[in-house]
Parts: sequence; C-alpha cells; structure tokens
Amino acid sequence: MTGWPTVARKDIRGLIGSRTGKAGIAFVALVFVSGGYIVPTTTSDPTMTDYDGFIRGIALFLVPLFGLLLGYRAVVGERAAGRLTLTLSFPHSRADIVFGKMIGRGLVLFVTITVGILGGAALIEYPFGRVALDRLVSYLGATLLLGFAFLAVGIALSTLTASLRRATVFTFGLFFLFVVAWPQLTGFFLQGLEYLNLASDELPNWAVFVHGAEPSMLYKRVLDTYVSPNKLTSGAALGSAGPWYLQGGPAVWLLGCWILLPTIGGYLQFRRTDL
Amino acid sequence: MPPAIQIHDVTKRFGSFTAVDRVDLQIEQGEVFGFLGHNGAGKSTVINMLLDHIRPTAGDLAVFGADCQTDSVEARKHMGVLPDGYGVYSGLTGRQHVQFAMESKGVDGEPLNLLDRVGITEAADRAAEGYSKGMTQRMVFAMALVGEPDLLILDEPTSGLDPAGARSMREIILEENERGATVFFSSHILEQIEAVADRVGIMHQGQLAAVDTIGGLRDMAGGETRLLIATDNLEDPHIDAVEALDEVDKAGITDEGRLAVTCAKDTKMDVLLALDERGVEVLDLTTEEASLEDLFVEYTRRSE
Repeated sequence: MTGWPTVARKDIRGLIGSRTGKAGIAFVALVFVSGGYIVPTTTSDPTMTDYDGFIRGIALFLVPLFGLLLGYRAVVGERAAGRLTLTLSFPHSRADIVFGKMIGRGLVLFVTITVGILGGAALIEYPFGRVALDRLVSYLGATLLLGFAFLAVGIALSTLTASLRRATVFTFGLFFLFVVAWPQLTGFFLQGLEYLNLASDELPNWAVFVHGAEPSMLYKRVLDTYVSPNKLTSGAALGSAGPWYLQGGPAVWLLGCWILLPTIGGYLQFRRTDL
Repeated sequence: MPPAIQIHDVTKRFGSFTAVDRVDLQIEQGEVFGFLGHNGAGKSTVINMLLDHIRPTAGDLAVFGADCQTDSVEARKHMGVLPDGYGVYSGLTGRQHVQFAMESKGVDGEPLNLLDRVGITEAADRAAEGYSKGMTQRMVFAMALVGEPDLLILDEPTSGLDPAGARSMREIILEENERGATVFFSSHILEQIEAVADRVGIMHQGQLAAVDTIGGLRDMAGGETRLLIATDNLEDPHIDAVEALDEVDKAGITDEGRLAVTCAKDTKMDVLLALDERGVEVLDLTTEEASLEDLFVEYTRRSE
C-alpha cells in the first residue's frame, strides 16, 4: 500500500476540477458560515450552544448527505466509466483505491466543514458573542466524525455493485432510512418491545442504546454532552444520569466504528471482485 | 532471465460461459507478440487477468517472474498498459493524466515530452473528457510509455486512430522494442500484427488456436505460393510439363495471359528451371503469398 497518496491527490484534483464538485463544496461551507451570520441577529451574546441549537436541524441532514454524495460514486462511478480500469493498470493495489479515495474525499470533507464552521464561529465571536474554545473543538470534531461516518458508508456502498444506478438507489434508500426515518421510530420500537413483553411505558436502556447507535443519533448524543449540555431531552441522550454506555464518550467511539468498519468491509468486498 | 509473460493452463469461466479455455503461452523478453482474434475471442479476458482486473478460475499468470494475482502490484510495475474499455478522469487535463501516470510509477519527468511523442502537444492543457476518441487513445498510450516499461501491453491499440495515427503508433511500438521493451498487443486487424509482430497467437473461442512466427504460420497453413509468370510462349505442352512437377498443385493461364502456378514455396526455382530447360523465356515474375487473412480464416475454421 504505497500508491494511496497518488490516488488521493488525483481524486482531490478531480473533485475540485469539476463544476458540481466546487458548487457542492461551496454550498456546504456557506451553510455553516451563514449560521454564524444569522444567530447573532436573533440572540444577544451568542455562544457555540446557540449556534448548535440553530444549525443542528440543518446539519443533521446536510452533513450525512454531503458525506454520502462524496462517497457513493467513489468506486462504482469510476468502475462503471472504466476509470478504474485505467487506474488499476498502474501499480496500485485495490487497497490503494479504497483508502486513497477515503483519505482524498475525507480531506475535502474536512476542509469544507472546518472552513464553514470556523467561519461561522468567527461570526458568532465577533463582535458581541463569546466562543469557548473547547466547545468549538467539540462541535467541529463531532460534525467531522458524522461526515466521515457517512463518507465511509457511502464508499462501502459504492464497492458493493458495478451499477451506478443501483448504487444511487442504495445510497438514497440508506439516507432515508438512517437520517429521515430511523430517529422517528422510537414509538414503533416501544410498541414492538411491549408486545414482546420486553418493555413497559418506556424503552429499556439497552434498546435506547441500539436505537441510538445510528450515526446521526450518536452525533446528537455527542453534541448534547459536549456542546449543549443543557439540552438533555432529545431521544437517545439521558444525560449524566443515564448508564455509561449512553454517555457522549462511548458515542464518540461508536462514531469512530462507523468510519472504520464500513471502510474495511468495503475494501474486503472490493478486493475479491472482478472489475 | 524469467520470461516476460508466462501463462500456465489458464481458464476463466463467467457462470457457465468459458471465456478462456486452458491457455498456455510463454513470451520471451524482447519479443513483439501479436495477439490475434475476433472480438469476443477472449483476448481482453487474458489481458485483464495479466492486470489482475479479473481473476482466473484456474491456472496462473506471471510477468517477469511476478505472479499476476498474488503479487500483482509488482507485476504491474513492469508494465505500461493501454487497456480496453477505459474511461478518462473527469476534471483532469491531458497533462495531469500523464502526471498521474508518472506519480503512479514513481518517475520524474516532463509530461509534455510524452504528449509530444504521441502528437497531442497542443491539447495538453484541455480537459481530457473533451478529447476525440483518437486523441484519448494517444493520451493513454503516452501514459503507458511513462517510465520506460519492460513490457508494453496494448489492447486493440489502434482502435479509434486514423491510418496516419496507426502508423505513428506502430513506429513508436518498434522504437520501444528497439529500446528493449517486450510488446504484447492484441488486435483483430491482421495487417497491423503482420507489420510489427515477431510472433503471433491466434485466439479463437477462448482457446489459443495457434502460436508461431508469421512465416511459420504460413508454412503450417499450407505454405503455398502463387507464381505469376509472363513468358514469350504459352503453349499447352509447357504448361502440362510444369503441372507435372512434384509439389506443383496446378498451373494455368490467367485472364491477363500469364502463366499462374500454385506450388510449395521452395519449388519456385524448380518451376523456373523447368521452363528454362524447355526454352521458354521468363520475362517477368511476381509471387503472391497466402495472406494472413487466409491463414486466420483457415485456423479459425479448423478449430471449430
């Protein structure tokens, strides 16, 4: 595995070189910056907590979508268009392709979100607000983790099939399931578990853990712990009163798993297929 | 010195379809090898297995001693490849494509020199997606030449090229061979293989029907030559005498009034001597050898 920097560099050049790529990147960064522009107009002495409160609803859709869109064509798009045939005619391994793309696109995601959030934070800080450094770092870190997780899932999906159309269907199906539907399913889980006599009135902690193990739910839990600790009512988080595995720390690790496992799974799948 | 390419008993099945059937082939360093066959005969499948784009169902392949599956990165370090069915990178110019090839091979150099060599200098800084088929083919050929590879693998290299482009590509192939590179290229067009290849392999329906030099293939497929002789005397007894010679298939008179003799290659002189003995003067002589096309048809028909 020595060719991944070359693959990553070429990937970044390609993303930045295309018009849709540039537009998408600019749009995401701009959303985060504009949050910092709008919050101070409605709140006096704004902080990162206000910023999070204002922008979380948007970020919960935008960041997963950005990650998935960056990832889902990474392998299958190149494969369907024959670009992988060209790349793999050079001394690159299959691992170079998967990890090079993960790192190249991860870097694009990193820069986009970092620039957007730092820009937003600067507008919060100046002239009247106050941005605590630890909250800013936590917010930035959590949002990056969320983005990387969906990027990894997107890249994993793109190794599963040779058909671009099928990959698109998988991706949007997954986006709908994870980001749109999953957080709303608390009631169904409760009814189901009650029917099985495993719960009464509210979800047991283990069920909250399972339900909350989806990346966007984990993201909420991390933010509720480290950025907006006064908001303890949202679905998966029970605050410091809950068991340890429902705290923010383990949620960070779980998000890390959402980055690692899909990447490795995607690589293993890709390694054994014919182009 | 390991052979440039060693293919040992390789089979590839896609479901119930056998694309490549027990192919054995060895190509020595420094050869120009032409891989001939109809579309769908299994040529690209063999090449894709050399590149590890697809994996053989059975058998193994090696390039300069490096196994193409278990050690495929090492194997591809020896190669410069013009693959079949590739696509170019969106958003990257021709120059950036060659630059990517250089980074991939770990060599320094000026991309423009290679683009110059294949004749698309003026398009170097345009996005490669906008290139014509022929320009794209030249650009990828330039990428294949990066780093003076030991082995050039060219899958239908002249497709999309005009005759002048095909000729200049042939010239570059010969230059590369002169430098010491082994060349393995596939084509369904016979003249191209005839023009540059030392040896030819004919793929037909997944099997390697024949491997030989072009001359050797001719001999094997009958090796017959047609002599067209202009003489001052075309009387029947002379013609009968020629036809009576050993190894002469038939002799007759063409529409243009020449003596046409179909015979084995090395009986040419016997025919001329026989005419001379009978006092017939030979004014002009042309020979027609069986074309590779004929051989190809012969071979593919025979192995059906």
